[in-house]
Amino acid sequence: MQRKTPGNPNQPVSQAEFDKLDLKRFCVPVRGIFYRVHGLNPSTGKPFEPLHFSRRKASRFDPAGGPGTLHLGKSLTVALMEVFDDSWGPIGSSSRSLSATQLYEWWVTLVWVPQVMLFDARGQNPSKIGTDQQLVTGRHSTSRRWALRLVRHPSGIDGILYPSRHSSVDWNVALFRKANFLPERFDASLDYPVPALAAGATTDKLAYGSALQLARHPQLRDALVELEVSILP
Amino acid sequence: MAATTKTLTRPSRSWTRQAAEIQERIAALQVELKRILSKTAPPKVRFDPHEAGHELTIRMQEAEGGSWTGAELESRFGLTPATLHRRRKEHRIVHWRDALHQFHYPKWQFTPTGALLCGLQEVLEVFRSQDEWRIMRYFLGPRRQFDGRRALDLLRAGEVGKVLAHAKAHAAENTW
Repeated sequence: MQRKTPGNPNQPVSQAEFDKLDLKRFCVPVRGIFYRVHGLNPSTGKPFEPLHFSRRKASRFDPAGGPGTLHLGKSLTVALMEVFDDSWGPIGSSSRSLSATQLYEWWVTLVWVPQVMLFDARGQNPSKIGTDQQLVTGRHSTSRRWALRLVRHPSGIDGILYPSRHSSVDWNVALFRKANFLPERFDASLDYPVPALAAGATTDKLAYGSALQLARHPQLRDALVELEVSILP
Repeated sequence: MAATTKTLTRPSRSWTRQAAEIQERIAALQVELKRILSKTAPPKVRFDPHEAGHELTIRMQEAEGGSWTGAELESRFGLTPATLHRRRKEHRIVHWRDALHQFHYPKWQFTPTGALLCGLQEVLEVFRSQDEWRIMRYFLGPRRQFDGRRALDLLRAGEVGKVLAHAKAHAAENTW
């Protein structure tokens, strides 16, 4: 009898088998403003492009064989956790900190996501497609195989809405590169205070605002207070 | 007489209204009392990221026996100011500066003979960083990838490869 393997999600079934699922039953329409935390390109001294659809196999849902995946956080807090929480220790430890220099090496860009249809990986849905919450907490390589099944499913979904591994109350989106919401465009209204809707909210294209250094971000302090993360001089 | 008895045994509508009014007033008083008590309650301690960071630097300065100054290193191990300057420039020694810009060198990085702890220089060369407190934090902070141990603990235990692999992976993402 096969034992459970906590920490490693099960492998997905074949694509043909997976395609038989009525995936749209487990999807939700999503639109709104999201946060992208991106680093500094050391070779140029400028921030990396805010909208990068990755196929680098560097994160949970960006398989090399996929169309490219853009990961976005619903809040600055969760976006910071996705980038830094693996290196943060418990509260009060020196590793639960960011240095003042780091705050100038990371950038935040607001991203407008027009209405998209996402597989909702919360609640019972992972179970209903044949896996469990380890899809969003377990080994990345297996999660990426699931991402391939999802992106190749005939329902043509746009990505995945998934709870953060770092917080049970926060969530992110993994957006697959799809022609229906591209090309992306710059939207100056994606600024602070964060608007309820971007000026271009009536369009169905992805949009992004100006990149802002983390050190200058108006929500940084509140986020660090909430997370109890120190700033080293 | 009968009417009087009835008045005493069955509350009139005006009594009911008065009772309701009294209940409302009591409820309002309770709300007001709660508001006053909440004002006099001790304020919740609010986390201050900069203040907490400053406290961490003090703890890191004092960790593992503290630090030596350049003069102390010269008398103890014969490390001249020129040698220390070169090592700092080449990312080959852990150091931090005080408010007077005097350099301090944590004792924990040295072996009893004055050599660097095995693997420490390789880690520094991976980061090639002048971010003094961030470097201190890397060695002194517990990490879940190391099962709660510190990079310093692993280097002392001879697990250099594990620390180097971690350092390289996080340096690539600038999340060390």
